Amino acid sequence: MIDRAVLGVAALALLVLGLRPSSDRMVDPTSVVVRVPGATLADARAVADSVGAGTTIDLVAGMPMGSARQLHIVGWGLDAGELRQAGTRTLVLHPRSLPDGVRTISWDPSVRLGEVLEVRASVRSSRRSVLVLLSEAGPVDSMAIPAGQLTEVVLRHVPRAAGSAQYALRLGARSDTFSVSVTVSPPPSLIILASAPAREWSDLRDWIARQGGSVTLRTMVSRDRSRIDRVNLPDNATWAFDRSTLARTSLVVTDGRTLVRLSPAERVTLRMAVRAGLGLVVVLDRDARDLRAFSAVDRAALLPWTTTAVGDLEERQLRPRVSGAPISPTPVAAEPVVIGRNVFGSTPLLDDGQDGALAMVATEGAGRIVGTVVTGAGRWLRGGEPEAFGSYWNTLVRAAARPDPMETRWEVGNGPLLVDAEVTPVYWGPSRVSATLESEPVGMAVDPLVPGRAVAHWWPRHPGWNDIEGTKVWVGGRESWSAWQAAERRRVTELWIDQHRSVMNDRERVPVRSPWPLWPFYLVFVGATAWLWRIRR
Amino acid sequence: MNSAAAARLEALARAWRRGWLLAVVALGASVALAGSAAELSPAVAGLATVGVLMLAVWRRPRVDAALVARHLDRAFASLEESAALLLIPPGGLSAMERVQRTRVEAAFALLPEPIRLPQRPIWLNWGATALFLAVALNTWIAPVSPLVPPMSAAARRASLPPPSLDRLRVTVAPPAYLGVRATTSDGDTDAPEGSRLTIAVRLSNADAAWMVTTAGDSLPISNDRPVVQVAERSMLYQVVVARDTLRVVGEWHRITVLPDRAPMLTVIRPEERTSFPASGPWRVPVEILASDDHGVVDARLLATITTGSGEGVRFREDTLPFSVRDRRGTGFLLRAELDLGGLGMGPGDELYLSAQAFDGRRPEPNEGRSATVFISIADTAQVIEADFDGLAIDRMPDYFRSQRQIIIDTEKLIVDRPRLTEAEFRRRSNDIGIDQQLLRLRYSEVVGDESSEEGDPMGGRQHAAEEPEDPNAAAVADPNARVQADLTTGQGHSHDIAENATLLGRSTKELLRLALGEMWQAELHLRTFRPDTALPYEHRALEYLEAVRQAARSYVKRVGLEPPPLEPDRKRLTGELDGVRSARSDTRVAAPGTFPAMRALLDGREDRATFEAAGRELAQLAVNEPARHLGTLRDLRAVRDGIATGSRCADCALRLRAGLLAALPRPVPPATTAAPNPSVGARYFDRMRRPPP
Repeated sequence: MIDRAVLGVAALALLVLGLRPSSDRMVDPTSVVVRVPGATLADARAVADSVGAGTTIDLVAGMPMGSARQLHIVGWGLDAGELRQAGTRTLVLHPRSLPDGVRTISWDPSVRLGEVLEVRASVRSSRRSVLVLLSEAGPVDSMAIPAGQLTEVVLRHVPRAAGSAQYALRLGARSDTFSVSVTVSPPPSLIILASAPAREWSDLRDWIARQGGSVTLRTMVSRDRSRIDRVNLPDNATWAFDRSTLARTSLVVTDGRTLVRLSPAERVTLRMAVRAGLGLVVVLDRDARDLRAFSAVDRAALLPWTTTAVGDLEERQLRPRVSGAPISPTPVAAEPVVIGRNVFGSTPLLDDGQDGALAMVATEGAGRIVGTVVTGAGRWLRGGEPEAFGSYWNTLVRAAARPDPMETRWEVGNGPLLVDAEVTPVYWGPSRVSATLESEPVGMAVDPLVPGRAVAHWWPRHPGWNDIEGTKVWVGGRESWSAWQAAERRRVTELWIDQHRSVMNDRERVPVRSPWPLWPFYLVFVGATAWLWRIRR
Repeated sequence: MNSAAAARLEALARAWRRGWLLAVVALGASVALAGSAAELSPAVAGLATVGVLMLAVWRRPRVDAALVARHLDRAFASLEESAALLLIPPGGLSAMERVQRTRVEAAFALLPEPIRLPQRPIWLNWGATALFLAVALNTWIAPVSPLVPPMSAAARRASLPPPSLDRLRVTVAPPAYLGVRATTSDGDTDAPEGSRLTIAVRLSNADAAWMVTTAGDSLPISNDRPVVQVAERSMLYQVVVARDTLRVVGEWHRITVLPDRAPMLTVIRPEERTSFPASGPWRVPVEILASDDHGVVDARLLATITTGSGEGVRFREDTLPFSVRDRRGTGFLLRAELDLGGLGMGPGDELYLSAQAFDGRRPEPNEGRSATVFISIADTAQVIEADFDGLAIDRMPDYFRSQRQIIIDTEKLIVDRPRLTEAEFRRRSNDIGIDQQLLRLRYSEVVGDESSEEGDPMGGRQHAAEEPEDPNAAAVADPNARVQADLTTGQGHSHDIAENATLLGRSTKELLRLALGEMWQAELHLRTFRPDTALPYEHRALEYLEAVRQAARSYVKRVGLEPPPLEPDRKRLTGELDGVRSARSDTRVAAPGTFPAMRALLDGREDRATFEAAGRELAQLAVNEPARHLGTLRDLRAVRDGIATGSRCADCALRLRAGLLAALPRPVPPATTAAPNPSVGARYFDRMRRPPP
């Protein structure tokens, strides 16, 4: 009895295999499932079955997207170029899990020699590991990455020499390379206005002068009498605090006490110069905080911030922090106030670690104003910490000083550069319309909003060092930064979908003849035949 | 026996052999001359000579009397082929042979004189000798011929391979007192200070060679003339080999000199400051740990005893031995027990105790001294009984004036330094440092602080501020302090807190603390043999002490002196600016560049001058840290040579870049400019900040 039943099953299976039957399936002919990196073909077919897509395109294998109106992306997403190919089609992302590694990373594309290079990254690793930043001289910074968590890290290093510095980021056995352009720029031209001789101003003057910068220190010694120390400046017979002098100056550093004692004409001159692009650093001392000492116009233009007292103190000793990192473990003196953050567009530069802003920068016309409450930074210099002193003043000066229009430099991306991926090199300097990138002429688009800025679009063609008018940049191969590439695909795809979100109408479905899968019948036939053969023996 | 004929035959054979031997010797000599003339090496020429001689001896003709007899048989028929009978004694002959011998003797006597034997082998030798001599003469004569220019030697030299340094051996013979065997290495070595260094080389194809050192020396060196030096300071060196215009520069090697350090002495017992009651017994157990890198040879205790007080104070110095010495590694644990009574001390006396140790260095041993401990015996015989009310008191103890003496001593030491030996200079500097320490300890007592030999100089004072000390301790240790303590008690000051441990006002104490801080630094530099560095600290300490004096005077003013009143209304803020002019100064400051050549190399400049300059900059660093920079120096040379020869070493270039980057110091943050401010951004912020209408 069983034998006959088995024989029947085998015959039926054989019949199906021979007839190759098919049935109708309702599909949306305008929907296409696209398999992109991060997904298998089985994943794509499963999605196609679930959404009723007409066809499946394997983008990994280089198949074209066709003319479908709706694309179901299965995997990590499309990159920028593929998104451009997608055009106006509706995209639906069916994401797959991202691989372990560096998910996001950024750094300053151009670092001045002496400044800290900060590499900011988010990393995920399934095992506990260590993320190491390596320079050409060896490991320079590292951080432990806990298992299974997306961890934000900041690695720091001070490049030792100007030029193109090569770095690598190593996580476990994987290492990816990038480069940073380290530049040397002439120091800004400075005027220091002091109402009385003070060691702090002398220290600042000497610090600028030792770098080859030009400084003028005007110290009031009495009414209408002053002492003027000019360093590294041509010997002009006369010097006056006027518009022409300020037009040749990058930055004015002073304090509230001196501002109060400026003549009205000088104050107007300073105000106009700041609006024209001059930088201004003001120590917010007691006079600067005195609301009656300045007119409303002067206060709005030169001292836009409000301050909040911190306890009943004469002076604070604190450790200022830049980007969350203390400049030095040695505390310095500061006014017993913190700067309010309520001025629109004003950004904190230094904080005290207790959410109190110690220095802020605000724009005023084309210029910038920095207010600080730190009064004793010279202690670092006298205590044998010139790096801390330099770091403090670098933070303030860099935020405010008028840029040198003749200085030229290239900034080529603040993230990984890959072969065949679009790069937008930024040129700073005198206006130009073309450049030579890796021996090829490329047109430059002058930024109409930012003077001295021009951009180009460039697709690197070979990995390794590429030359951009003397600036060497490192371009990674297709396989480098794999986790970042996956995360970047997802990010730009989700961003694109978010920006092009449209109402998904119910689309018309049409029947499509779909052959039965034959492999189950083949298995049944083989099994039944084997059963029968065994019984016969 | 043999007849006269037989003797004659023997004589003929000997004469022939002599002639042959003479020809062979001449041949050998001519071969040697020819070899020398051909500028063969002595070994090759000697070998050829010996070979020729051995061949001649091996193939020599065996000429003896029998052979001569056979020759005569062939040459003279009258001998009837029987000349051999002449060599046989008559007793051994038969009757016929005797008859024949008689006939032969007669015929032999009739042979024409002189009998000549064949000379062909001898002449062949002479011919060869002449040939070799001709070669030698030709070689010698040819170069001096005006028709033949001396090209052969120059051409031969030009074809030689470049000069090279085949082997470099450095033998280090440490000083005898260290008892260490000499060592030999291949270039890099560590040498104890004072070692005898013998640098030997084996050169090939070189006319001259020099050993160039970073100390500035350029010493000639050759295969048979090594460079001998005494290891006094670390250096790098390289061997430069030259022939004609070819110069081959060898690798840099290091010689690190390990100085013989002075013994280190650590006082375990007694405490830094110990006081005994006025009544005995006064026994002080002393334990000192003495150590040295090569062993301590001698150690002793130095005791300075002060008796009396005020202007009548007397000092007495004494040297005391240690009673027990336990060996601990290369040092000793030294023990002694002092009986202060036995040292002649009594109540009110003080003892400044330190230890001194010497190592075995020759000719002058290194000397180490411990910190000084302060031991005093309380004096109950004196009781200060005075009514201070209404009196001006000079609260500043006498020893405040000693800081000036320390400055004078330091300045004198700096002036005398060129005339002093290093050991004497160090000893005097250390002595002044000890004086500075004593002064500091006394001031610490006045200000109510503890003092510590280790750790942060401010730490001791901070500790004192946190932990109140015994209010009577200072008074027991020092009579002046006791005066202050009594005064303080009388005026109701609380001694439970260190801040109020003296009568000095707050500002005065702060000044004293500042002075103590400067004294700490001065002592530090004096005891590390840098009096010139210590001098500014000493001056500042003195300035603070002077300020303290001024503060004390203000107290005097309070009780009696009325200073003249200020007249700000008359002389200040009058607005008179006639004598005041605006001043102006113009200066120029050159930006100092650090390691410009190394930076240029990193920036891609690869010319020979840059390499040379970068090598010099790196060599300066490598003198101090050879282990860190020597590899980079070698890579620099490899890269330079690779560029010169067209065979670049990629690995060397990578290592060189890494080494140069690691060698550069961390740059100081610069003053730099901001990015341009977008004009649209400025307008945007202006609009947003504008108050609403």
